[in-house]
Amino acid sequence: MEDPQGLEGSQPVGLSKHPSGIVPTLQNIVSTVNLDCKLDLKAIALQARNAEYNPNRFAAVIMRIREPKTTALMFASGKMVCTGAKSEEQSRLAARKYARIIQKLGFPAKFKDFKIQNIVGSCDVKFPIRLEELAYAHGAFSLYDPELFPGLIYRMKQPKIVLLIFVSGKIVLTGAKARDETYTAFENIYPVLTEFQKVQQWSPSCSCVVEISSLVMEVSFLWQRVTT
Amino acid sequence: MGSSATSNIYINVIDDVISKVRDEFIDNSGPGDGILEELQRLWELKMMHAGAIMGPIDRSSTKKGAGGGPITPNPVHDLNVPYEGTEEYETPTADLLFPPTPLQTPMQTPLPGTAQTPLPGTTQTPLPGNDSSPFYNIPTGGTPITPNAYASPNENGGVPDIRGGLGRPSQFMPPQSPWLNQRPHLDVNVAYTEGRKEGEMGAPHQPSTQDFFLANGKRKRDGPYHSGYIPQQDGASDSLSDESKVAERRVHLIPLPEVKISFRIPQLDGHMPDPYDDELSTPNIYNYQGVGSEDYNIVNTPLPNEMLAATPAPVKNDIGDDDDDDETLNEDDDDDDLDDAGQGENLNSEHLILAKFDKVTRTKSKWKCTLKDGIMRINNKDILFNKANGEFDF
Repeated sequence: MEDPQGLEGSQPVGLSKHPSGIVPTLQNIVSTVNLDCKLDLKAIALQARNAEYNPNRFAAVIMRIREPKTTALMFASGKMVCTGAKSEEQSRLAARKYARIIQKLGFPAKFKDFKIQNIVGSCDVKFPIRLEELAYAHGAFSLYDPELFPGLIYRMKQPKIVLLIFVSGKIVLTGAKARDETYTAFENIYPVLTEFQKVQQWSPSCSCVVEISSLVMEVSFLWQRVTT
Repeated sequence: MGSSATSNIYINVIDDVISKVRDEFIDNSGPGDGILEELQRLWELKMMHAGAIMGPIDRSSTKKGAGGGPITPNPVHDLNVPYEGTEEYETPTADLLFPPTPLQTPMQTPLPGTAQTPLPGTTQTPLPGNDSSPFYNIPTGGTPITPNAYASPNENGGVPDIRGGLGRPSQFMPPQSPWLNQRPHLDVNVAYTEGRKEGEMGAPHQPSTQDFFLANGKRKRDGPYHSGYIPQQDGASDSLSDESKVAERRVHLIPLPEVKISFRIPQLDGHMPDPYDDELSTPNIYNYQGVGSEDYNIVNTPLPNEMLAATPAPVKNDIGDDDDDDETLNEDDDDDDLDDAGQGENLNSEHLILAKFDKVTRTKSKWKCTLKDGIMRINNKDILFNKANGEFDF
């Protein structure tokens, strides 16, 4: 149902679905699955190949596989969290691989209730943004405290997505349970971003340049006088 | 193909392990010293074949002194090899093939009325947590036990004559390694911390087990079967080709045929707390103390080995629901990496590092380790190291 080809953030694809011409790139998928059997974490950590287990630090076995490059947290209850995949299908495949590993270790692991819990995407609108004005205009949704965090935190209500908007024009979208939510959220915010696009005008920047260059000249003047 | 220093390390390791478990073997409930000797022979044999030990093992026997004569009293024979008659013996006796072990004598049994310590009234070198035999406590030549104190509770006169005096290691016992006695506080949880560094032993002890390989270091498999040849099959019960040999064997050796030499002897490591329990006595770099309530919902013992190898019965999809979607993990879900890694061991050149770790850190996919006291097997060569730094990408 999604666009089949590899989606770069700046590739114009499917203008009907992505009128902005930009498609957010998925960076991280977090999913959970229930293996439906109690796990002996110590035994798993001792037998499995790529497993970490520090019970005094965290009560789960941390296992990693290379393809898809993911990390899984396995709990004694039999629940498992799989993170790091770049697509939903990869996340599912990785979760199945982990379940298979557990199965091979001797546990009657199943693959129950696989669910994508979070999708993180990012993209670049390629123009700078006036965050302060955007925060002012969308005060109900925005949180912008540059001393705390350089990005504006935009909590969109529909779909329920959190966006991190940066001055550079880079956007991070998180909180989606389905890829479409990410896309919709971005399409929703795109016109807002263009509205608050930081337009590079010559007059303000020109004056800056003039000021700086005059300062430089003064300094060089003084320096010449001092050194001669 | 290892260096001679490496080879010596392995030999010393083998001897040390054998001498440490000897106590359990010679126990009344243990398999017996003969089994232990075979174990050692087998072990050394396999190590030689793997190229880790350079044969033949040169052991200058120091225990010959008890009147061994031309034939050492404890010749160790490679049972894979047809027996080769020595000068004095044409056919092997059970004594030769299976060296007599005086420790089978009832002296070793817990004496009635005595506590667990078999040496009443003696001060032993304190070895906490070490259940070694009394022989470890006794320096070679020293006799901390008065023979009287030992013999008195033993009414049945089970003191054998072959013992070279009570408290003194019998002539058949391999002499203890000197550094064992120099370290009274031996913590079995920490193995080989001393004297194992730099791949070199300061004073390599020469145990008394004799050179059981032929002089040329080879083992003969296809030589003519002598009358004394008893086929030795690894992992299977021994089949006695010569029935007459059975009669000659001692009582304590009869269980031999049933013993599977493939190391199925259950290994009970004294009291060794798991690394995940908070009762680790040895100082640990990573402090596992104060583990709150660990909810190990399943039995804490590690899974028996049988469960590891076998793929568990596939979950039958009787429901006919979603075959691939929800349940039933098939082979399609197998991780290629893991499967390939398992097959790599057949190539015999799979690279391997076995060491203790000091620190392991990870940043994203970059792992950094500092290791110590380890063995590396790279390109079919064994390399030992005291310290190693590593960077890995996963």
